[in-house]
Amino acid sequence: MNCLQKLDASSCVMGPLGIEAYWEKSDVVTLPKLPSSTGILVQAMDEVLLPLCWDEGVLVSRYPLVSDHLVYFNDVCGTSVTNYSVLDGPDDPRDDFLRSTASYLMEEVAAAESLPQLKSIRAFGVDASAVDILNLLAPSIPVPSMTSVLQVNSKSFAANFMAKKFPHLLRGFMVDSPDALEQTALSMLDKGPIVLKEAFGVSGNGNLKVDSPKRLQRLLKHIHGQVADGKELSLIVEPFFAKRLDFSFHLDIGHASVIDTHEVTVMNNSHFSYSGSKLANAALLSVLEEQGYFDLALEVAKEAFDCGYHGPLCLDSMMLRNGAVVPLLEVNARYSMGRLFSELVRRVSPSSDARLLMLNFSSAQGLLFSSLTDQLMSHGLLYGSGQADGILPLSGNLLNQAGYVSPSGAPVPGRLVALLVAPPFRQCVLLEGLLRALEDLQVVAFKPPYWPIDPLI
Amino acid sequence: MNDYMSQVVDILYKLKEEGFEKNSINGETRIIDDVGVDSLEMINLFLSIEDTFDLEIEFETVELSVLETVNSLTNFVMDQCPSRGPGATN
Repeated sequence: MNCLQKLDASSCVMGPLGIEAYWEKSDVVTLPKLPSSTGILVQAMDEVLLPLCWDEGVLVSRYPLVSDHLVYFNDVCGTSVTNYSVLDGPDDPRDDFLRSTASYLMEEVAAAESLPQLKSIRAFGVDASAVDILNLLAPSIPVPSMTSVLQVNSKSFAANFMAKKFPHLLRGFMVDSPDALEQTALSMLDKGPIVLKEAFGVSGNGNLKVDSPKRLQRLLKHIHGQVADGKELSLIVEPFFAKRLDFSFHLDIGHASVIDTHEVTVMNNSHFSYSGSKLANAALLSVLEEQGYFDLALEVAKEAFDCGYHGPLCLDSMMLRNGAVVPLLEVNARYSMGRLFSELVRRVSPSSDARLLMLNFSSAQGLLFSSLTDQLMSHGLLYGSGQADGILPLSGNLLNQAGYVSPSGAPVPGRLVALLVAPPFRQCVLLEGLLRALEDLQVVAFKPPYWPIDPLI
Repeated sequence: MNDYMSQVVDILYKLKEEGFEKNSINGETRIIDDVGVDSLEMINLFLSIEDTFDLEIEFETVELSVLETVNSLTNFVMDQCPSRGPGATN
């Protein structure tokens, strides 16, 4: 069956999860970076988009899903989702997933007698090739322009919104020259550490904490060289907030401006690195309501719509230790891990007793999905094996990346993404059990993400 | 443990906000697997190395294999220090 036949009468969800890499600009100043050993992981992450798929949906992913993983997911979620991938896997020389998929589909469409009749199509995020695919498969569904996607997703969109709305509040400042960076950063460093963020940075990779003028001078030297080479400087200088918790609000903006609101999720972030989500509890929602957060979030969504954007939106915000809310730190013009989590929770644990876990690990040979589920089952931990709570693994290919060597010569970790389905007091028991099960598999987990004890989390 | 290595351990200790026992670290300790330095902390690790040893590192050309163990990172630092030249630890 070719791709078009497979998509006929289906609800389609399309990766890649790492869409932001397609949005990176090459002509802008970047902060110092080391070669990444985890970039290869992002390429295998489309499998965690399964929760976005409806009952008989098709997930179009960069790599083919592990078949045991897909069978397990369908079994526990009561779905019949299938998978389609143009690329064969990490060794496929056609490394541009979206462009390869677009050109493959164009060939199929040219040879086909009729177009597939899709029930719906959703992309994690869009780039130019994704727009081609969406226009090809569902020409009647409007797609936002790339200009609007990039504008809304830029960290400058959030910084400008905050500057306009709260000129006197502690917040980030946009700078566009080394002099402005030095002046702004030095004045803020007087009050404490700061964070520099690339306006077009990908996730936490374009963020750097600076805690001294000496460190700032070193970074300025790095930046001056790039500016001299003609690169554009666009950075956000932000105070290093004394954080109590990170949270996100998930929305959908319809192409006719109707805004659907979804859940608020609390994130577990460590050093700008995401490691899990849970749904906001009633106490947190009540505090946010009191502080007018939701009205402000709708204003952000309206401004995004006015820029020409429609589609999924994720607003990243923070509560400080003193209880104040920083209502907007970043806007993501795409789906997000928190949204995927809330879609999955709605399905498997309507009572909301669940949390998402993302855990990197090292293993010399990688880890097969079937070995993990066998081990979890033998420990009585696997969700769906006749018990009301347990661990629902959401990653298959990601587990097996461990043992690869990245282009920079570093060993690639494996990554377990899993839902811990249990009341909060049992979630820690599940996590401890999981770590023991991994140890039995000769897998060394990095920094298990424990949640702080806090009535608002 | 030589001076270079004990300074490298001090840097790791500060980076991880004193999240491990200093005396549990030796030359064979793995920086990613055992100490738990993640990809986003690595750049701050190298910036701290620059500050401590008064160096300037070309970040983009660093081979991540130097982050394998405390020994390999110490060797990297010693190779970068103009007054020290290439050499082995321990």
